[in-house]
Order: sequence, then structure tokens, then C-alpha cells
Amino acid sequence: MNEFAYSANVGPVTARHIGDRMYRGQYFVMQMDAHCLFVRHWDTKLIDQWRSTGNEMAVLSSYLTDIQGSIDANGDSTRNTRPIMCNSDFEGMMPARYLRHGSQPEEAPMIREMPQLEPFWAAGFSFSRGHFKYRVPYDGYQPMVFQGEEIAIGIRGFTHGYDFYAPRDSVVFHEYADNSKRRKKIPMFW
Amino acid sequence: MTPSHRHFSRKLPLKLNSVSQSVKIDKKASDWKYDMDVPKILSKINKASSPSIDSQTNRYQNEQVASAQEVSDATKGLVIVQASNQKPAYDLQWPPLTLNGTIPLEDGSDVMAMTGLRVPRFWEAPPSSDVNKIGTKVNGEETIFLMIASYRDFQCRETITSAFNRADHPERLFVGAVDQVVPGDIGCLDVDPPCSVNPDQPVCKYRDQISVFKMDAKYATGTHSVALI
Repeated sequence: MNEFAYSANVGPVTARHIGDRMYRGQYFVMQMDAHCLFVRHWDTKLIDQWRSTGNEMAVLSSYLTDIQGSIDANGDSTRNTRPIMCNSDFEGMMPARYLRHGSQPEEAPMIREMPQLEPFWAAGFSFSRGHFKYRVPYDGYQPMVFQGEEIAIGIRGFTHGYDFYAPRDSVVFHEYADNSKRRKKIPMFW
Repeated sequence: MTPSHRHFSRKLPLKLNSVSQSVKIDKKASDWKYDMDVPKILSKINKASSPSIDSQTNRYQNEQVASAQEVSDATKGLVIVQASNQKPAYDLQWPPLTLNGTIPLEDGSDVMAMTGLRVPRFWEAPPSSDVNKIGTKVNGEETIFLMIASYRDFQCRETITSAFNRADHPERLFVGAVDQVVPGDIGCLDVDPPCSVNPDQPVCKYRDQISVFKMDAKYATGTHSVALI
């Protein structure tokens, strides 16, 4: 989960704000990092999961599971576990304490019928109705934000009535630099 | 150091911890100084990257930096909407950027505060419509807008390829990518072999459903250097 910390915490707010400006009324909106791979039937599977919440305001969101060993030769998932956003705490000293997401627990979900409610929103994967992005786009006035974009969107989304869920099954996986030889040389922000 | 701080430190990369230390979060509130001298920040960003534009490869032909006056206005915190040829926001159609990466002239554009970048306007729901009902369909299937912000990432093209390849209904997928690159990087559309050689690969086959805003990666790194002031 380490690599995500780079991209989530440093510079992508301006770029994602511009990305949100490209939305043109599509039914669903989705966002993720630029180094992910999907499983077969991902669109159908993801929409089925979203529908199973029975909640128009449902936002499926989580950090993603590492790609290593997660997709078989047919393009299907080999995983029955999924991360859920619930391991977060305040970091730093007063008066500059800020809420920060740690590595998130990943286990087989106890609830199988539908995605499970969670308290936080994650920038690494988000799938919802289009009106979520419409009401809660990335803030274009925060080019210097160093920490907390996910917290800000989580709070704004929640106060607009959105609920966050950990996906029941993963349909997309993330290539983390720690476990990927070819990503080790990727330029980072520092 | 609180117990919770230790707990997170163990799981986060060392580099992150060193940055946390460098911003000196143990200062008193009265010690905090936020450098909001925007012209200074802009000059830093521009200075840091001025040699990176390559006129030979024309990498930044679509990077539409605003005029000096617009940047000046933007630094006052305004986002300016162009007045000329302004169509209602609910009439904005896909694609938000043309195939060569420019903002369609008839769409108008905004200039972002701080960076002075000229960017696509936000789409809006028609005035009398129910926002909860918005959402287009293609062949009876709900459309999906996939937003990707890529930072100098050679895998962006693979991510987009995978999304189209593995979808049951690729025709429902619309990709909006922000490609932060420097000259020489492999961008989101730089497939190998190129589309002229193999037009059947997803990035070429579904090119009309992919919209890419290419921007200089300086804006990301500039943000970083500013954040640590």
C-alpha cells in the first residue's frame, strides 16, 4: 500500500480537478491511479455490486489490492479478500494534527450479499453515480494541499448524503512499486 | 510521539517520515507561516521548468497557458470564464478535448486560479432537471466516466487498454485522462506500435471515447516544492 501514499498525499489535486472537469453527464463515474489492471466483465460486475447496495448515494471506494498474483491467465480475479477503509488516525502534534489513512486491512468480507459500509473515501478507487462527481468535484483552489484531499472529499460527500462502501469483490488491481520491478524507476515527487 | 503516531510510522515508507519531519509539524500555531505570495510561487514553478519544453517534439502543443492579464486575475483567486461564444454548460458534449488535445473552441474554457492553466469548463445539469437522474446511456447500457490523473506514468496506456479490453461493453466507457508528462515520457496515448501500424488496439479503436489533457509535470512538482515552504 505504500506507493499510494505518494500519489495520494502530494500533488494530484490540481490534475484530478482538471480530470473532473472532463465529466460530461455520464451515468457512472470512476477514478483510479494510472497503473491498474481490470478483470474480465469488470463493468457488469461493478455495476451489479453498486446495485446490490440499493442505495442511489452509494460510493464504492477503497485502496486497491496489489496486482501481483491477483489476475489469472483468463483475466479473472484470484482473490476473495478486499481492503476496507477503516484504519485511520490523527498524526502529528497539536496544533497541526491531521487525519491520515494508514495501510488498510484486507480480509474476506463477512458480509457477502453486498458491499460493506465504511467511514472513509479513498482516491485510489471510487465508483458511484455521476452526480457524486457533479456535487463533489476536486477542489481547484487547493494546489498546495499536502495532506487531506481524501478526508476533504469524504466529508463533503458524506454531508451531501453519500455513503461509502468497500467493494465486495475487487474488479481492478493496482501495481504497487514495492512489489513491481518495472515501477521501481518511476519518477516520484521526492 | 503518541502511540498512534508510532503505529502509522511503522507502516509508512521511510521517505514519508522524513518529509513529515522536514515540515516541522511540532511548531506552535503562531509559528506557522503560509507562503501565499502567488506571483512568487508562479515564478518558481516557471523557473523550475522553463528548459523542459521541446519545440522539436512539440510536446506541449495543447498546454494552453493563459495570458499575463488572466494569470494576474487568477492570482486574485478568480476563475475566469471566457465571455465569447459561451454556450450553456448543459450543452457541453463529449469530448471535452479534441483529438489533438485542445479545448473545443465553441465550448469556451476557464482559467484556473494559481496555475493560470486554461482548462475545460464543468458540465452542468440542465436547469430544470433532477440531478439525481442525470446519466447517459449507450445501446441501453449506462455510461461510465473513468477519470485518471497520470503522473509521468508509462502504464497509463496499459490501464486504459485494460479497461476497454476487459469490459463487457467497451462502448459505454469514456476515459478522461490528465497526462502530466515531461518531454520523452510515454504518455497515455503513446501506444507501441502506433495506431497507424495497429489501429485495432483499444486505445486506437476507442480513440473517440478517450480524452486527454496533457500538461507539464511541473505543475505537480511545483506544488510539492511550494507545500514544503
